[in-house]
Amino acid sequence: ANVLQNKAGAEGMLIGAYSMLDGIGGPGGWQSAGSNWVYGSICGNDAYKGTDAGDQVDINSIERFEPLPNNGYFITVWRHLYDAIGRANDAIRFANEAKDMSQADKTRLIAEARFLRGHYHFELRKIFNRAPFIDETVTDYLLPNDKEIFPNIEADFKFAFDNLPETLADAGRANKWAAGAFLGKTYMFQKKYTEAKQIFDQVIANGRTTRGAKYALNASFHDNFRAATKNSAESVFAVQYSVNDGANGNNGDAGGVLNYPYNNGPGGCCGFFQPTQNLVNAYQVDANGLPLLETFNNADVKNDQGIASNQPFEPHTGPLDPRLDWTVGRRGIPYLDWGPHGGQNWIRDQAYGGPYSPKKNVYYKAEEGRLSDATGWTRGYSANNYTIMRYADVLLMAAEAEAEVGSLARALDYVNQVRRRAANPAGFVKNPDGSNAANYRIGEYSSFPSKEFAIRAIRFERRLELAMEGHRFFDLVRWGIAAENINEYFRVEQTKRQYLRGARFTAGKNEYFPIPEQAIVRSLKDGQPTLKQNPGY
Amino acid sequence: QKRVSGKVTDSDGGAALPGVTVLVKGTSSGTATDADGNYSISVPAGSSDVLVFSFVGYKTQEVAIGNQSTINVSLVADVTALQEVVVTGYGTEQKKDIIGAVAVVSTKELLATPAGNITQQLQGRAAGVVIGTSGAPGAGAKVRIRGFNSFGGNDPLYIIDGVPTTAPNAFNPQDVESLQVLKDATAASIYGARASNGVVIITTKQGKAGRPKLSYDTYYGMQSVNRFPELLNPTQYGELLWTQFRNAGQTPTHPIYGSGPTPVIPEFLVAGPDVGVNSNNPNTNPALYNVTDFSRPIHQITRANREGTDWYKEIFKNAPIQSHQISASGGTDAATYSLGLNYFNQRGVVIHTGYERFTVRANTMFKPKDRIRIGENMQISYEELVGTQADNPDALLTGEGGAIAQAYRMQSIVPVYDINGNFAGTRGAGLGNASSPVADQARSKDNKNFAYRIFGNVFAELDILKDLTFRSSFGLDFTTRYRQAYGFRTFERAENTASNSYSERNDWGRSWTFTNTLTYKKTFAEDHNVKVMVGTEAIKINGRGVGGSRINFFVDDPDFRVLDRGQPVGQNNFSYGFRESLYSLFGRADYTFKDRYLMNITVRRDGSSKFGPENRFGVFPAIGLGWRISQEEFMKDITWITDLKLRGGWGQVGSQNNVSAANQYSFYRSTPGNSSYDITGSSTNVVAGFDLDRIGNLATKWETGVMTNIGIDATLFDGKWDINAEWYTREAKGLLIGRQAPFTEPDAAQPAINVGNVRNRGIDLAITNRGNITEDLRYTATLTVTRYKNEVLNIDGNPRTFFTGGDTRFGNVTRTQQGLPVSVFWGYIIDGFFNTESEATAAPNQPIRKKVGGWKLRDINGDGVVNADDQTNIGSPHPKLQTGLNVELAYKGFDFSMFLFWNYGNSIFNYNRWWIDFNSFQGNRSTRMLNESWTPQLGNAAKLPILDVSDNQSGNIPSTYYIESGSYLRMRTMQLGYTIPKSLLNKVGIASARAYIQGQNLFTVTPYSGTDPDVALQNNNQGDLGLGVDRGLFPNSRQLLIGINIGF
Repeated sequence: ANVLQNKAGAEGMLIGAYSMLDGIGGPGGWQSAGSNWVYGSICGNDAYKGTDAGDQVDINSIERFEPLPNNGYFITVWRHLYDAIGRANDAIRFANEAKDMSQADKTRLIAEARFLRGHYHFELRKIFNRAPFIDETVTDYLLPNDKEIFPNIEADFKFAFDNLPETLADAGRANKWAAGAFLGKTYMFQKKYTEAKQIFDQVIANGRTTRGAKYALNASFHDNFRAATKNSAESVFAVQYSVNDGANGNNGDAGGVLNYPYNNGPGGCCGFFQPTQNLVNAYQVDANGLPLLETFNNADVKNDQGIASNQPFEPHTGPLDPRLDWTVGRRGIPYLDWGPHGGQNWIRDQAYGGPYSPKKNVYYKAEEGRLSDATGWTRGYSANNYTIMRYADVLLMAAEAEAEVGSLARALDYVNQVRRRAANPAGFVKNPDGSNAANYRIGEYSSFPSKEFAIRAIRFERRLELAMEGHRFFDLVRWGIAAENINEYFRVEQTKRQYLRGARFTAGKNEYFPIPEQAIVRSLKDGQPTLKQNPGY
Repeated sequence: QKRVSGKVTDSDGGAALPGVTVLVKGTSSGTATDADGNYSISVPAGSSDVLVFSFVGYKTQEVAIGNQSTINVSLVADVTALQEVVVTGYGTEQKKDIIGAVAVVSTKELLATPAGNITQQLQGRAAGVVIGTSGAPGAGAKVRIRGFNSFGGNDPLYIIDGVPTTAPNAFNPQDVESLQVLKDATAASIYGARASNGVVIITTKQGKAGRPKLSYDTYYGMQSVNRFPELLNPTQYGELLWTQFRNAGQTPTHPIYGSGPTPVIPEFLVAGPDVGVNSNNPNTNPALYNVTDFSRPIHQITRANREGTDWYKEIFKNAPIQSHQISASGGTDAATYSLGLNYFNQRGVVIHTGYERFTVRANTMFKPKDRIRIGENMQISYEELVGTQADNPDALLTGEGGAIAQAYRMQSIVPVYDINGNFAGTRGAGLGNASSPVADQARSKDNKNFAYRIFGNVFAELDILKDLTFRSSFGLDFTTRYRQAYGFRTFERAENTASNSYSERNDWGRSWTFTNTLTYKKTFAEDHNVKVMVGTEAIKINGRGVGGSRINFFVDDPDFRVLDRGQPVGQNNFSYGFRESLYSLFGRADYTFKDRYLMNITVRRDGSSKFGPENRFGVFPAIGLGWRISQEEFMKDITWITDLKLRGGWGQVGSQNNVSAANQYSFYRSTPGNSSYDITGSSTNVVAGFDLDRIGNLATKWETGVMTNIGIDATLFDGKWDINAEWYTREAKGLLIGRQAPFTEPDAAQPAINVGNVRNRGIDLAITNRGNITEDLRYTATLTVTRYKNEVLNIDGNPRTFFTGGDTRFGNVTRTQQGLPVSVFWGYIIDGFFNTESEATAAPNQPIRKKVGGWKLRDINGDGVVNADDQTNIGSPHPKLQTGLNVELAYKGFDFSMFLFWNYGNSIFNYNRWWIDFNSFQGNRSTRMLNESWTPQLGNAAKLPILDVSDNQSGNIPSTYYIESGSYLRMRTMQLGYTIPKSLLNKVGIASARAYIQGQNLFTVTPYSGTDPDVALQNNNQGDLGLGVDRGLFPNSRQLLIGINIGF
């Protein structure tokens, strides 16, 4: 007898579907981390794989855009996402069959499940392009991947937007406005700017968190990356991480557990996900505190490459966007409350992975053991949420939509809202004596003289604001500039990271990762695979 | 009436023979010799009667009584063994009457291989039986009878004293009285649904009427492993790195070897936070050293090992093996007993591993009345595995995380110990992420897995009528197992374990078998022998287990290893249970006409709880026919044919091995790690949710094997030659296989489903020749030949449908598909190298880079591009032939035996090459990679692509490069013994004494480059769809032993 076809079963199944947001809990691992640190950030030239050459070699070929279809990373993320989708579908099925649920409850639950289902398919769409859409009516899972699934994703988010309440008891649930924001993002990926603008207008005007707080930017940029300040008014939808809950860290940031400094720095392991010089350079600003849209990569922000930790080093003195030092750990700058970043001593192989460490995902020393979990094999399981969508992202997408089909003035306003928050001096990284840790300078754009300029500025702003958050590669593909951008990155970066020599992004192929060969092999119907490989693989 | 008395002795040596049947010919009046071989019998006075002396293993002798009152007889051993009684399913048969394919394995031959369990001893001993052994102490062997009939669960059924088991490892081989392998349906289908993979029938030693006998048998030996892959020393490793960088157009730089024009080995690998430094670095100051206080930064200081650590030599050490057996037996006509005490101890050749076993066997039988026999057979055992908590030590020692693979994953520049004698490791950079196998083994030395097991039965037999016997047997197999493991915090690894941990687990499993049979046996009109047996059997298996773990223990002291010494945060606990049952009805009829025409019919109906109500029952019939041609009148003149029998059989058997007891049910589960979520945003509390655990399938049903067997048994020249040849075909239908779900489905354990047919065809051949070379020099030589051809006839009707197996870091490397054997290797064919730029440019695109010095992959379908569709069958794990040659020589007091085993014609997928020949994890590399990678000079003579640090592709496709021949010729055993003359022994009250020396695996001839070519049946618990993939298995060791057998 099925004991789950009732309210408790459907609600439990929905929790099971939520629990997949972190990328862990089914067949997944860090290969399927909800933060997309590999596919979104490393491939989007925000970060190198990092650590040393021989660890997680599967990423080496992904970073160089020459992965084989049998690479273990792809099948893991594929399986994880379809497991998550299966759970969402089960929640819908159980709700439909439940006798002890009110219609309102059913509708809400199904809307939440469809939100999650839309999100998981969106992830598949971003990574693999062609992946079959599985809904709750599917019984034969051998579906071809020959259709564009954005319409289905859109329908799920639309249903969620139309049916979800504005507020819900639990901070972790998707509400109407989260669904709206995701629907807008879905439009953006299809270049449906008019529809996107309409929905973003509503989200910006009326959006609230599940707990009823009106969407707003946090006063301090860094509050988005602290376990203590999670689920703020800026958090549109986040993966809820928890620790010391009996799961040995599995519900914490298990997907990002490798992404800490090496050796004696925080987290204990493993030196992955090191920011690129290219990213750091992007935070250079002019006298007005505005980014160097064209020339940012002409000169490097000074770094401690090749300088031992016991040798003196004076950090860069030129003007920098203050967000840099909440995004990138670099020598001499306070690394949260762990003391100044230790330079080479905190890096596993500086010649290979460069001088920087990731920072947005790192927990505070004062929180160790309380908001981090040391019951797994390493200490880096943190309760610091990964926010899939934050309000700054909404504003910047809205700005893009405005620039494309609406008003440049409104676009300017959205971008400047984001910059104004970043310019709050109370939110800068401070030395122990209270002084700024570096020469921070940030100003607002006075105007967007042209659509082209506006779009360039907005795209740059997205990078600065959302760096290391798993979005960049998908943005580059969405904008259609992945090949030129990434090949230009390789041209320069291989002079710093010589393992990138010979790496090349092939237009028409590398915009999407290969359909996992294992999935094709398992898709036989009448002896023929129903899944087709992406072009070029 | 008069009395005749006398003594019966053995013609060879003159020992008294107790228990010889003495009959007056043509009557039922008879007696048996007593413990001293004496008999006395009344015969009608003055008759011309004849006395018949018969005894198992001896030629029957007839003596006319005439006027004699004392008749002493000396019986001659019967080498033809045609009268030998063989235990088959639920009964016994004389060898001459057997119709089915039954291989009788001599106990002596079995015991010639000193091994912890019976499965390892079987290798090469029975035609049609393929064995894959592992050198891990206590590990069982993989036994496959007549090929692979299924996609998994191909283990045979073992019946020990009538009690079934699938886990014969705890069984003491020295208790074996006889061992038979039932190979075809005629012989095995009486075991119905579990007989598909053959049945191994073992009976244990019973007491015999006569004076008590006591014996002591012991051996002691040393095991060693000496065959290791050739790996790089630190200087060569640096050379390899620099060439790789240069070929990739990069400036060489490495955290350890520096950035100079040539690689430089630094004095220190690690000094606190610094790597690759010299003694001028202040962090090399020993005063800063700290690896014990985890509240401060770890400051380990490790010197580079310039000469290089040979990690294989560090973990493989010579290790002793020993066995001590005391046996006592005896009895009277009314009661017999047999007692066996055994201690077996095998230390592993991998450090800190070992297996120990104590067994007590007590078999007794009582005949309180003429018609009643009751008795019991029982073994109590205690087994202890050291250095592991896995049930099978293979599981922890082999595979990529096991000590054997870590031996090549560790670079040789890493010393075993740091400057203060603590473990050194991969801490730092550029050294990969292996963990020191010496450290791992030392830290797990107190981990234990021990089990108590009671195995045996009680039985009663009642002769209801003279010809009608009822037998009831209740068998029990009860095991309780305890496992404990401690995990240390580590400091020396690239990726350290943050917390210490301790886990314990206890479980018990019980299975009982209740068997009742009724046997009717009668000879009608002298020529018609009829035997009919019907029976019922009920089997129930159940058990439970419980376990838990905690972390963060204050001290690592072994004396404090109890769970509640650890912290409650991070604790885990679990329990589980299982049950299944089987109910069966069976019957068998044997009919023999004139000792010449033989027929047998069996049928069994099984009901199993593993299947849903609609498919629960299965019926498995078989028929066998035999013709003893030699008994025909027209053959009487051909005297050199002692015995000739032609036989054939057809039948069905089943299998339910490859299906779990939970198969028919779908489950959801709720676990903190998999289905719970912090929906409230609390950061420390989760709300429990659900996720799919397993999918059930009510439609799953029996797997059916249809077998046909034709055999010839010939005994020629009065036993000088024995020939046994069989041809068989067996087709398994509705194969059970774990469903391989599309990856668009939710993740869950999948049910077994019934798909496809597999056919095995083969020949089993056993030839024995025996005789005398000189009067004193006797010999026996036995050749067994096993050949099977395995083919998947059908999977789901579509020839392109396949199943995958052999999971590796780059996907599945085996495929099972119509028209091919089970589990062939599947990959790309390498057609040499691109030697010029133009060659590379002209070639079709391929998944690995087209570059000078790179591999050229074959475009099999000729579509102008090499992609996944161009993979093909690149090798089969199935041997074409396995053969064993056993030779025994006896010269006066000396005896010599040797056993040569030849495995021919299979391929091995040497997955270890991925680790040591390519840019995989930064472990050590092979000398092959350094010396045989492509250079312009080597050209197509190269083995590997050009060294290139940015080549992350070449090794990551399954290709012919991984395929090696798995053929080998191995001297399994060689033994020389000397038996001290009885005349000397009698003075000191010893009945017999023999001493021997023995060598085991003295040599192996093979082209295989891995540590041991005995890989064919290794599947690393991945099921039989992933055969023959070498992932760093535990090699079989060479052993040198001395042994003593003493009888009192």
